[in-house]
Amino acid sequence: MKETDDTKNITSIEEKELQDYLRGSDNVTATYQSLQAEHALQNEKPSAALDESILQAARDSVAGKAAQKKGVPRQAYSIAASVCVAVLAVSLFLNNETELTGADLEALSIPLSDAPVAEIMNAEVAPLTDQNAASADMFSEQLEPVASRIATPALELEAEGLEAAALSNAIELRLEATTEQAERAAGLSQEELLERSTTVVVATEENIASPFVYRQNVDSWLLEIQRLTDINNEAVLAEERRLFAERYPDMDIDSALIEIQLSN
Amino acid sequence: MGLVSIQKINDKDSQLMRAYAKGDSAAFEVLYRKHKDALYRFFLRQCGNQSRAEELYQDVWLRVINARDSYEHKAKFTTWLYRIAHNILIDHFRKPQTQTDDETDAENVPDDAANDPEVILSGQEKIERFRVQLKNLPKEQQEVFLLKEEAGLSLEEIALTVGESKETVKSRLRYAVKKLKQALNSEGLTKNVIGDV
Repeated sequence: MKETDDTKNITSIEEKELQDYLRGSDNVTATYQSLQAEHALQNEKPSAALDESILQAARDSVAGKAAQKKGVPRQAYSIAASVCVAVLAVSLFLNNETELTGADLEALSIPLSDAPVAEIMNAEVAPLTDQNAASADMFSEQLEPVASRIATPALELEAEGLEAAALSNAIELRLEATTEQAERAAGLSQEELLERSTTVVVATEENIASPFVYRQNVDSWLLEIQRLTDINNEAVLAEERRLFAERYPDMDIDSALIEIQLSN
Repeated sequence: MGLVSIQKINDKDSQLMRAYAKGDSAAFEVLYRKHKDALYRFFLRQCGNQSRAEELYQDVWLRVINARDSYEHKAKFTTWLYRIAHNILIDHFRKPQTQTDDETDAENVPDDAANDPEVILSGQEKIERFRVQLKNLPKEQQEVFLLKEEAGLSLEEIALTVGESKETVKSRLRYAVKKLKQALNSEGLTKNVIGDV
């Protein structure tokens, strides 16, 4: 019983102390404030550097948020720029796909007629002289299949019944290509070679078509033989006389030439 | 009148916090300068280590900065601020303590002085005796006392801050005050302390 009363007394004392403290009527708060005042002299506060770092973090956080808000249109611009770059990349890719390499150009852009022309150009490398007239037949044999691959009037001439030997002779006589020309041609670019070959093809057509026209007519052929006689072109004259004799075996060339001279 | 005044101040704190949440960094600076010293002492008294106190103190403010968007005006700003501080402190005490954490900054006074009522104390000694008694309080009692003294919270607000009932807080505070008074009630101590201040 006495213990209970003592406990009640203690509890009431503690409660009274607490109430005094909460009202600020005791010395506890005052003492604590004096303690605080004492330690304030010992710099009992956060350092200036710490203050600044925290305030800077607060400012950065706000600035970061503002940047994030402004970042929405930036994202739109970024997406638009990405789309533009993608379109550009695709177009470049497609352009590159249609772009031809040198080998592709060679395979696709050179007409079929260029292949025999190239062979002709190679054939030109060999010097053409009167001494190798014997090889004319061989040359004409080489040229014959080449000519058959060319869709040119040369084939038409052949279709008209002209002999391949005469054709080869004409080509042999008319072509003035030299070794130097062939070497120069070897150094030409693809485009130049193509242009040159086209020119050669045209020239070949002309050379084939025009020089042998006189052979289509007896009189004109005889006039040509007479001309060759007058200029003493023995090599060509002999060939023309031989061809004429083969074509017109029943005709005497010399008699015919006299008759031509008389008629003129 | 004092209560109304405190309520107005705290209402202003909440407005400042909301202003900061909307992007006004100057509002945060006002808020910070108002609470920084008390909050720092709150940690320093309980840690007894300046570097550790600064670390915990910085953690609190960084959490405030990061949580500005989620701040709600359901409680006073001060209650919210010290609730964060309380949680950080709990985490700190749960970590394994190193020797350095338990050291104080050259403020060690023999604990015997606080427990010997027969000792005649000078003004400086009285303050040190009080400080040692405060330091030796159980952490829970120490915290509620500091929340009352430094943050100026009421018993209800302290209860909200530490997540305990008002009666529990009242009991802790009662024991804390009793022990501190025992340190002050030595012969001539109270008058000398007050006279020195």
